[in-house]
Amino acid sequence: MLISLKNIHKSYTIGSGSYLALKGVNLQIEKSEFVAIMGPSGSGKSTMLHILGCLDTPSEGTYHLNGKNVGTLNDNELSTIRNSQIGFVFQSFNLLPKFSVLDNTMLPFLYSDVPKNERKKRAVESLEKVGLGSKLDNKPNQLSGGQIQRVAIARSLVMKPNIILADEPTGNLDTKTGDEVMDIFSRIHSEEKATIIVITHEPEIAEYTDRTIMLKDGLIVNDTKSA
Amino acid sequence: MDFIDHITISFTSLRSNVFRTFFSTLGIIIGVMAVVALLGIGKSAQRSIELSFDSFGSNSIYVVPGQQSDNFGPPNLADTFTLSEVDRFIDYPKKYIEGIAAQTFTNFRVQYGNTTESQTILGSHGDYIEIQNFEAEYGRLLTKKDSDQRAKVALVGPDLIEDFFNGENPVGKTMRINGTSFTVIGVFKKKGTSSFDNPNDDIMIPFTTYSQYLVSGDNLSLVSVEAIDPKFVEQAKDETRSILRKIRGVGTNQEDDFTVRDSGEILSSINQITGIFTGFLSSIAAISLLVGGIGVTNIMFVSITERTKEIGLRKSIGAKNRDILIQFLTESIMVTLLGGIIGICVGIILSFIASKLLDLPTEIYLDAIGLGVLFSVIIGLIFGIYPAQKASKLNPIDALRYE
Ligand SMILES: Nc1ncnc2c1ncn2[C@@H]1O[C@H](COP(=O)(O)OP(=O)(O)O)[C@@H](O)[C@H]1O
Ligand SMILES: [Mg+2]
Repeated sequence: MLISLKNIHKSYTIGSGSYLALKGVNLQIEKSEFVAIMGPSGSGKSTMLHILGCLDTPSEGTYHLNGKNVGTLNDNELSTIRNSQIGFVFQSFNLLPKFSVLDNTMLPFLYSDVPKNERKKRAVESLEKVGLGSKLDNKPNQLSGGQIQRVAIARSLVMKPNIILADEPTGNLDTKTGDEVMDIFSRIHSEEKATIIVITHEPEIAEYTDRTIMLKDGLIVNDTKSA
Repeated sequence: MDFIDHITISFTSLRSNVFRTFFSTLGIIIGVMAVVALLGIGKSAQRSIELSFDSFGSNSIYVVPGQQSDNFGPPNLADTFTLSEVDRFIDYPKKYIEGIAAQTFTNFRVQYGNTTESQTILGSHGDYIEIQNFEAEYGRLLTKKDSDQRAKVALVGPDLIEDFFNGENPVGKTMRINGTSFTVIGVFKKKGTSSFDNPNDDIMIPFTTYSQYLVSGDNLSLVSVEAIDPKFVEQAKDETRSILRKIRGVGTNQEDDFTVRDSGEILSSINQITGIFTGFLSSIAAISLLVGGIGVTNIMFVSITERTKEIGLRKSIGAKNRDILIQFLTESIMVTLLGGIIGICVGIILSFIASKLLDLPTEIYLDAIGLGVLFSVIIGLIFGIYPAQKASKLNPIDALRYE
């Protein structure tokens, strides 16, 4: 089992009170699954994804990643997991505006022990996979929204992670470019055998995946595998 | 992440904000500039003082008439030594003293050809030439015979060839000092100069001649004594005191009516004065460095706030707290180092100009450069660590959400 969440709670302190964003989530995801997480706004989707990505820690419950209890790891160990095992794709892209497409893609290498002479080659490979092999030296502001998100996907791929986590990756894109982005995820899923978890609002996007998890008020209310 | 990566990231970020980078370095530029200029000018001044004392030598003792209470001050001009006192001192049997000289000087109008100018005329007596290590460039030096004969001869400084003798070798020529004809018998070799003491444009004549033709009376303002060896300076001073007390008839219970000092004492009191001066100016430099440092802290906070999302992103792709800390520390050190390098350049130029204006020898300020670099790196470190630490401790989720 790649991912195993047991009784995950997450509470945020707001002022003097606290708000429970996750209220006991149990979830198991196998290696190479392609999963969509859906649910109304505020239902806890992002919170759950951050916990899965070791960016945040649960207030209660245990998270086993590859059989390892994440709750026992320190800051540096979590950083290493984020770097080598997980690739993030955000709704708002989060590219560094001053850096070229190639440099943005190579960013994760900075925090890795990938030898320097391999970095450029691997980044170019990633960019070719998302169809941007010809834009290496462009700055993000010279690209369209769809292209920017493809750079972010290439960046999430360079470290060859086990898991790719995408938080509404098509949320800022029109339907056509959104479909292009999802096509890329599908292809990566079938070619790389990576585990991909995508948060989305749109049922059409969820159709690209093999499994749809519905969240509501911090709990999983539905979990269906499609054909 | 290695050193080159950190430098590259910092450079990219600084370059994208050239204007702000420059302004954040301004305080450091001024501070380091002050440090470097100070050190440079201070060093030149010190060097020039040492140079002027080098020409006397470390076994020199000075005797001025009158009681000087403080370490360093003008002699009382009313008190003098007479020629006969000095001659008795010279003839007195001595154990630790090998040379005695006396001198006095005044400015007189000197006429050569069609030019008449005011020049410093130095009347010298005793072993003056030997103690001060004069050597002849042209002609000869003054001798005891010149002194005994009250000869109207003059030894002139090398600078006067250009400044006064129209570039000609003046040996054998005649000039008029205060109306009296003198023959130039020699030009001495150029001596080390300082702003305090430039003998190279003096005219030197025997004191006997000086007192006969130029001023009435035989009053000498300074007696210099040379110990037989630098290690006997103290004994030579004691000997000087006891002989001069006898010659000047100072009673057993009376205090000396003259003051004996060695060159080391004079040097250290001058150093004390320049020390106070540089100490005062260094505190100004320190204040500008402090203000500059606070400016750097400020600018780093602005930069970190602007780049909160970037910090969140870097953490989400695997940056450790330490990576973020070093990234921003590198950036602040690069800012201060840049300011430091500019400050060093400007400071060197300033001290170069200042030493030219003040006619001090120009020194190479290697330690000033080292100190400038060291200061700017340390300030970058001290004033960058707090913002960098804050940046490194940001929660990645909060940082990513920051708008
Ligand atoms: N850092 C936070 N502090 C306080 N409340 C938060 C924080 N992050 C999320 N929340 C709250 O937790 C709930 C779930 O948020 P989120 O996981 O972002 O929802 P979703 O992604 O499903 O829209 C929301 O009500 C949100 O306001
Ligand atoms: Mg969300």
